[in-house]
Amino acid sequence: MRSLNKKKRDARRVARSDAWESRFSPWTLAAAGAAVSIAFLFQRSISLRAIMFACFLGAAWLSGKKISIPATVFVSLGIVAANLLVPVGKVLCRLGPLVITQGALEDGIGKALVFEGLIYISKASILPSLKLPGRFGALVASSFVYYDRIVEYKGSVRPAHIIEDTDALMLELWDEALGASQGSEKGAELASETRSAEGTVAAIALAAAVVASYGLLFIK
Amino acid sequence: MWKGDPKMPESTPPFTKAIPNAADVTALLGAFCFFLSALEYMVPKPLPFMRLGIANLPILLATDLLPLPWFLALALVKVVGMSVISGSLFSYIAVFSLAGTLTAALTMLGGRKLFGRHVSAVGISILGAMVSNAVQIVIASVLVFGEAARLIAPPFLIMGLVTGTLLGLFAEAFAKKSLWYASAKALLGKTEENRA
Repeated sequence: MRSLNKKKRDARRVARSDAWESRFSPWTLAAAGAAVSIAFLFQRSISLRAIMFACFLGAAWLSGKKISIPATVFVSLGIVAANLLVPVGKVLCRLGPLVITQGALEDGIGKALVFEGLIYISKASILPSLKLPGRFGALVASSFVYYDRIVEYKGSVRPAHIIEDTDALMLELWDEALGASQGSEKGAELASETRSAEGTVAAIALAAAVVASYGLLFIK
Repeated sequence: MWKGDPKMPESTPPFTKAIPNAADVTALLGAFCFFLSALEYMVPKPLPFMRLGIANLPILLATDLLPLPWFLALALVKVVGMSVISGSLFSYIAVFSLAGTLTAALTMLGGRKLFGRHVSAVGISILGAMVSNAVQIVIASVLVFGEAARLIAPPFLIMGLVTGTLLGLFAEAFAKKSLWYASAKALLGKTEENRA
């Protein structure tokens, strides 16, 4: 029953991911994500940062990326706790030997929001189909082709024979080296064909997100 | 056979259909980095940037394999590729990854060039892991933890020592036994000779 629910959740997530990728072109989305990330970094108000964080979380969910709320909470609490160890400003309360100060608490919450917020905006704005330009981009694309072959590798890598089995895997990929180079070119062409130009609504939504993120910098 | 040993396995190198070049070796090692990063991703960790460092294994192997430009390209492929796969390109995670990978790569390469055969792969690996983790602790203190970063320093450095040792042992054994590694080394050596 639990695995059935998980399968359904995964199917819905994949559907969201497909819909998200079909709406935006990877470069436009990445550029918008970069612009919003910069505005987020310059945002000083904790409450506005929290609002932006919630929007990023929502965007990451819509994009179909995996989200772990317990991990987010755990890491955020760790960052806040670490910052509380160095007292700054007005003393709010004492928990045994730990002195909770206002400055340290605000600093910790602010840092946790930035840390987690950037992860989520990044998840939402970086598509796996993002193709980097130039020779370096071709090298990365070629690595992705090899990576796909590693994942699809039919042989096994047994812990007791890890060196021999890893070597066999490398030899098999090595033998297909030329094919992989050609494959990367084909893959790049295919990706550019399947990539649809974003619709007007999607472009307006991205522009609005960027303008809003910078507009929030002027709210006091 | 770790450094400078020209001994080749007796079997024929397997590249009969086409002759791969440094770009192919770099791409293949880059893919290996992605794969190990994906494995590492499954290991639970207290903080997202506290990684075991197993994805640096191909970079350690590449210290004796790739010329400097391709070696640096491999380090960047690892960082950029993983940031695209995990979607963390605009986050602090990418900053940690870039700093950690580049310092580890340059330290291991520098150590290899400086000490040559006098230091084993284990020593080079530990050197890279410790410097990489130290740099990440400094970045963590600036971006996330402030002064409290000193609290995570001891476990983070001990972790680097352990994983650095294990990776070094694996790299040493792999370099001794691997037909692929010997083939790639011989091929790239010949390419460099031809260029010269």
